[in-house]
Order: sequence, then C-alpha cells, then structure tokens
Amino acid sequence: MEILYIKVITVEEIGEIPSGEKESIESAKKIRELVEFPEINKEELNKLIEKSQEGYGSKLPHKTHSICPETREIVPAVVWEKDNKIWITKKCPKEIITDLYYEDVDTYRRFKELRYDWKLKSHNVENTGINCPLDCGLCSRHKSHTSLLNIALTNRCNLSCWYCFFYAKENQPIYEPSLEQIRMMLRNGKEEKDIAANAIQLTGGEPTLRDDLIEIIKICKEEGYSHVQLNTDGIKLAFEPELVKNVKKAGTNTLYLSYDGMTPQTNWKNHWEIPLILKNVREARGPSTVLVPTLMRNVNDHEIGDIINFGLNHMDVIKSVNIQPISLVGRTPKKERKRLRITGAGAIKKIEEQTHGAIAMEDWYPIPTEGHVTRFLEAFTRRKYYMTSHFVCGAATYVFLDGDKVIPIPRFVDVEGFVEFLSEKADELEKKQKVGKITKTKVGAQMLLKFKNFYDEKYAPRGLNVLNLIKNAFLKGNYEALGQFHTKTLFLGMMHFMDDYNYDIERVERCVIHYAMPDGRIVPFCAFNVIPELYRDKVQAQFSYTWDEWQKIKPGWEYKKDKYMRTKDFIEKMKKSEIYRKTYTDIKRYF
Amino acid sequence: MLKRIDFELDDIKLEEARKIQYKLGSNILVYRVFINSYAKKGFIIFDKEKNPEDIIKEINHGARIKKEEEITVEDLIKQSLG
Repeated sequence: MEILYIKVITVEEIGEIPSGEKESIESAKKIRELVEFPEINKEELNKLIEKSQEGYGSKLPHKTHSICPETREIVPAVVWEKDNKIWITKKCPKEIITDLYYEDVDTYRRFKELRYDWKLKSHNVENTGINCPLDCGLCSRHKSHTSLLNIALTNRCNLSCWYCFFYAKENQPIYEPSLEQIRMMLRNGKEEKDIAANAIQLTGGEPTLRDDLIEIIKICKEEGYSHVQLNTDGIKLAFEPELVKNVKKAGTNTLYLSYDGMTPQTNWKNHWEIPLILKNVREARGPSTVLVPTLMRNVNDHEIGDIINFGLNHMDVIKSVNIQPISLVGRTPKKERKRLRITGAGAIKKIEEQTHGAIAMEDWYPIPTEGHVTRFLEAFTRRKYYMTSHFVCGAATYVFLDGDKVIPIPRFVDVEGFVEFLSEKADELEKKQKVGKITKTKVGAQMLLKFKNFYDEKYAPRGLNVLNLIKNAFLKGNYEALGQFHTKTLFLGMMHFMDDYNYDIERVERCVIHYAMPDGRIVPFCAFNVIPELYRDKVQAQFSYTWDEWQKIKPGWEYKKDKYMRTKDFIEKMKKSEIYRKTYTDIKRYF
Repeated sequence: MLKRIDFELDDIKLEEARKIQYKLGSNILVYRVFINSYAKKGFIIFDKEKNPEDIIKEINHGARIKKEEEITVEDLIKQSLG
C-alpha cells in the first residue's frame, strides 16, 4: 500500500503580511507599569475650573477647551497639577474624563517660559475659528504658519497594521490625488502669508507604492520646496536600491523612517528590512534618515535608550531620532490608556534613565525656543521660519559624539542665556529702519564676544571649535562651516500628537504641522487625524476612486500585489547575514 | 457642481451652532460650512444632490436663505488658496 505524505505548508513558510496583531497581544501580557489617573468629581472639577486662569501660558490650574470623545462637543477643560504630573480634565456631557497631559511639572514650567507666539496673516477658509476645531482650514484664528506640510499621496499600504484605520482594505475606495491636485496643494502652502511653507512631507498609506513618486518629488522641488521628506516604512527601499538612488536624485532630503524598537517583537514593521534599507541609503549617499519610533508605555518604552544608541552607531546615514509618544486615536478604554499612555516628558524621563543621565531632562528645549532665535535671524538676515507650536507639543536637543562620549549641546552652551541675549539684540535691530553691512558686522562682533559668556569650553567636545563656527557664520557670512557641526551631531526630537482624551484646543490652534487637502484647505495635524469624520476620512472619501474606477485606471492592478509578504526564509537568511550582525549586534554601547 | 447658500439665523447659542457645524460638516456632500452664532449668520457649500430646503431644516433656528449661487469645485479650490 502506498502511503501518500502530504506536506502541510504553514503560514510561516509562505510568509505573512506584517500586521503587529500577535506582537500586540503578547505585549499586553507584559505590564511593567500603569498610569494611575487621579479621580475627580464634578464638584471638585467645578471648583478647579472656577479658580483656573485663561490665556496661553497662564499659571496652573489653567483653563482651556477640549473635545468630548463621544458627542464631539467642545467642552471646558482644565490643565492642573498633582503628584508632580500635569493632568487635563474635561467636563463632557455624560462624564468627567481625565488624562495625562505632561509628566514633569518643572519641565512644563521651564518650557512655558520659552513659549513664543506668532500670527498667521492669511487663511483659506472664511470661518473665523469660533467653532474651533470643528471649522478648520487655516482660519483667521490660527497662530502658526506651516512648518511642515503633509500631503497624503495614497491610502494604499504594503502593511496591514492592526490598529490602522487609514489604509484601504479590500474593496474600499482608493484615495490617490492626481499630479495636478498635488501641485495645487503645494501651491496652497506657498500662498501662506507672510511666511510660505517650505518643507513638505509626502506621506500615506505608503507613498512608495505610487509609480509616479519620483515625478511627485520633482514637482515638490519645482514648486520651490527646499525640504522634501518621505514618510515611509522603508520596505520597498530595502529591496529596490535603485529606488533609493532615484528618490535621492529627484530631491528628497530626508527619509522619515518608521522604527519602533530594537527587536522583531517591538519593531515588527521593518526590523528585518532595516539593515537593507540602511545599506541602500549608504550606497546612494542619502537621503539623510530620521528614525521615527512611536513610543508606547509597556510596549517599547524600555528600548528608547537603545534606539538612540542605534542612531549614534549609524550616524553616517541616520541624522535624527524623532520620537512620537503614542496618540491613542479612536475610542480607547481607560484601562488601555493607563497601560499605553506616555507623554513627551515621560519619554524624556525614560531616555534619562536608560542613558544613565547622559541625556537628561535639562538637555531638552521646547520647539518654540526656535522662535526666539528666528526673531533675531529675521532682524539680522531677513530670513524667517518660525516654529511656534505650543510649548508642550514638541521638544528637541542635539547630542554631539566626541569619541565615545555623548555630549548634549546644552552641557556646554547656556541656551536660556543665549536666547535672552538674542532677544535683546533683536529688540535693538528691530528699532533700526535698515540693517546695513556696518551694523551687521558690529552685531556679529558683539555676538562673538558675548557668546563666550554662554559657552563653557571645559565641557565642550574636543574636536569642535564652536567660536570659530560662530565667527564664520556671523562675521564672514559663511554658513557652510556649520555642516561640520552637523556631521557629528544627532538631532533628537519629540513630537506628541494629541488624541480624543488629551485634546487641548490651545495646542491645535498653534499647530505647525499641517495637511494640505484636495479641497483647497490646509488643516492642522491634530484636527485632521483626531476628527477624521470632518477632515481626513471625509475629504478623502469625497476625492476617492471606487474599487471599479480604480481598476479601470490601473488595469492589471491587484490589491494583494501591494502587500508585502515576509517569508520565513527571508528572516532566516537575514539572521545569518553579516549585514544583520553589523547593523544590530556589532555596535558600540554609548550608554 | 456645488451650491453655496448664505443665510441668517434667529437667536442661536454657541453650543447649538457648534452642534450644527459638526453635523453638517461630517456630511460627505458638504464642502464648507460655517455657523456664526455671534453674527447670527452662516453659509454652506454643498453638492447639488442635497436639497437646500433640507439643509435649512437641519439648521433650524429660523434660518432664512439670503443668497444662493452655484460654484464649481475648481472655483472653490481657487478661492481657498492663500
């Protein structure tokens, strides 16, 4: 009798589309810490609101407004402190909701002092903003100009992340703006007054799925955008070295690359592909890469120090690590918020712990600090680009690698003192009708002399002559020397986008990261993504193709072909490869 | 083709105006809407498939049409730039 053996082919052998579902279930079982939300009743909340102060930057408790996750009404909210943490509590019609707003009171206060407000002078809707954020487009109420303009190129994606509402599932409409629409959106950003948008982020879905991506990048350059950033999971870039070269050649400055952790469990999106992506970027000599970890408590927050260490090891291609504490978009039960919620200050605390104090809380500055520097530069050089987000939205620092030593720049530059000095100089220059060559030379010389007061050579990196850089920049107008500084530094950024639970309208009206929409509006990030039924989903549905229309436009296109299938064979090959070892294992430990 | 109607309102509270703003704003046939509770007026730009009378009913609060005009999506986009 003949016995017939049938080989059972497992999912692992065929491969699977990364979705993160299994990894998420596993991580939910390993809880290291929970955020304990303070309880507050209606009476206590009323008292708190009564004694709170209004106005951006006023003392705590501070009165603001938020949005109800259930009814979507605009509700009163208060930002207050308890147990060295800042909380936001809002009075929704049916319940009181509290969430973590910021995890360090001293840093909140320090950052508040460095706030900087600006005023946009143009708008693309007639609405006045009285129903903010339910009547968005940039309106007469909005404070900040667009620092980074996002254009979603597609809702197609090669991954199937379990939590994502954005990507098109099978048979759902496809959103993919035409080249004409993209050009219109780019021009819309350039119409902003009196500072036009100058940095663009091409995002998705997965933008590399578009066949005309290179043409789109060229259009961005044609329309006068100096900075073009590609927000990607990098999968296609791992397997198509020519695409990396072409993306760079077309004018992409930065790859904004998803990178959630150091292991296949924490970074299930592209852990196995990262070595190939970095290799291809290295060979193409760019674009410069920004690692973007979305940070979640109890999921990958224990790896943030290692992620920075990883960045420092690959500084020839990685120029920045930009951390995004999780935005819990959609309805999220309190139990889940207690497990996953982390804020910018919480992330910085984790970095301090995991780098053993090498990068500390005091080394970070809020994004609007840049506003003070720009004000001086505007008076001095007439160049301006203000980043005037709310002081809680983002933070940044630079770390300098001096041999094996990691030195954050605030360790040898008194940032607050320098900013104060620049503000004084800006006051002086703004009083003058015209800033001529003699004035510039005089101010440049004063800068050089005075800068010594804010610079501590004892703590400065050995190979860096900061005073020479300042001299070249401000006296000789030679900014190229600053490039030397850039090659040895890693920029660390933090951007905490909001969600239904920690929503603060004072933050959204100062937002600097916007989306251009095909209907002619430009909308702040946290309106676009947090209220998708008014913005992202609705407008994309208005401008989408039905499944049938899409198949007619793209004959031969198949949904499944868009998806990335990671095989067990590929993982095994990567595990044994030299490139994998060099990328992850044979690296220095700086902390 | 789209239609723009400008209207006036009787007394309307800010909270009520926001509720209507949200409700109309989330309708896929609506391209722009603004309910101004202070000035007691507003406007809405919507796909011609939608009946203006139904919109007025939805707004309620004594809404009365002051002006009606047709507008293309292209014109709406052009008007929005800058």
